[in-house]
Amino acid sequence: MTTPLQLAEAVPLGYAVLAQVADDVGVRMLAIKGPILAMQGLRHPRQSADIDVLVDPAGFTRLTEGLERVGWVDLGDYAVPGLVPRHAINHRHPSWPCAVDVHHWFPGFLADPASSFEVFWSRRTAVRVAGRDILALDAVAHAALAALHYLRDEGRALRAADIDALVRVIDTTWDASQKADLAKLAAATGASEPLRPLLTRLNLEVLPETQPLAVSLEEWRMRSEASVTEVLPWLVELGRLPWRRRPGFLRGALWPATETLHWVDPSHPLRGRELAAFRWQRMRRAIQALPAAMVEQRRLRKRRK
Amino acid sequence: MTRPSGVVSRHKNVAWVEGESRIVVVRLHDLAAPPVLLAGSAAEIWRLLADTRDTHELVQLVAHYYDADPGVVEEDVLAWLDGAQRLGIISRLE
Repeated sequence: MTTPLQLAEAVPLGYAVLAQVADDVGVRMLAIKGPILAMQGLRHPRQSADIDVLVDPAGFTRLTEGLERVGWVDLGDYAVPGLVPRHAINHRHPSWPCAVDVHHWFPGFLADPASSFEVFWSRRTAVRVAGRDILALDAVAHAALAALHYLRDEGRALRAADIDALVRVIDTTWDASQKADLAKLAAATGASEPLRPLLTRLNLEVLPETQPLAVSLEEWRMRSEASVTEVLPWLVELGRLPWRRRPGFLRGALWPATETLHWVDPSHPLRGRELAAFRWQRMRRAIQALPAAMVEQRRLRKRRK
Repeated sequence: MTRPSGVVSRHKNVAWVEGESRIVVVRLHDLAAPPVLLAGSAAEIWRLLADTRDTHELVQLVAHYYDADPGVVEEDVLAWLDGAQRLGIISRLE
């Protein structure tokens, strides 16, 4: 092939490729986000840059290994902490213009990921993508997932517009049983509290969780309420670690291993003076962002008390 | 010239999308293989293969589409089918 794949071609084809890899390695997988949301009428069609799938956590490694066998390389930067536990691995292919995000968990569904996946799988649906029938989240579960995606950055204007649009769709096109189903699904996946803003706007009851939470509500709230993202995850992670591990963590934060820096542009590994300049710029940016991150951490702590 | 025979269809294990000026086909039975790009008459034959076709019928349809004599297009259509079969994007039943 001489002409590169366009994004509009690659994204739907990529969903078909992912479904095939999952089938080949015998892993249950559901397509999420992007064009699937638009097909289900949950958002306006717009070009996605990624292919997102949710997999049975038990088959996560098998699927990512299967992807690597057909040229999709795991380029995740695992040295960088997050405000909530890691939930996806990012893969890229040298001939494809889009990335693949394989999720074994989706932030906001705070119940055990395996039990939540069983709930999603039991409600799965099929959508027609790239001439194939691809298994996907059903519209109700997908609306919950989309809302959690928007709510985790609820301070940002674009996300507020997205959640407004989703509320309008649910309010005007869903019947009462679908809306009630949304509240029940939230309770069954540990998402009642994270979805409270959506459920309240829809005048739906926020039902008590029916599953124990595997991820704390505290971590979710910190992620959704944080107004700064630079440096804050490092401070939070530092606070989570036992004292004996903190010096090593700080050393890695300030002076990360060279191999963890290459992911910025895999085709152009940094060396020599370029590498030193990059490290210096990175550290300077972190020092500049540190005061705001510390203020934000204090603010979030106070809100919790 | 003998009448072309056999039945032809898209391979059951491919995915495809229509772009602005081309169709891109991915061979799901060979994920390491690069996507196949179809443009012009190749894209038109692919569209005509939305349904399983008798080869003779396909030649007639291509000729009709290009307002040409079936005898003129037949050789090109059969050559394309041979190539597409080798690439693994169509299947032929004799």
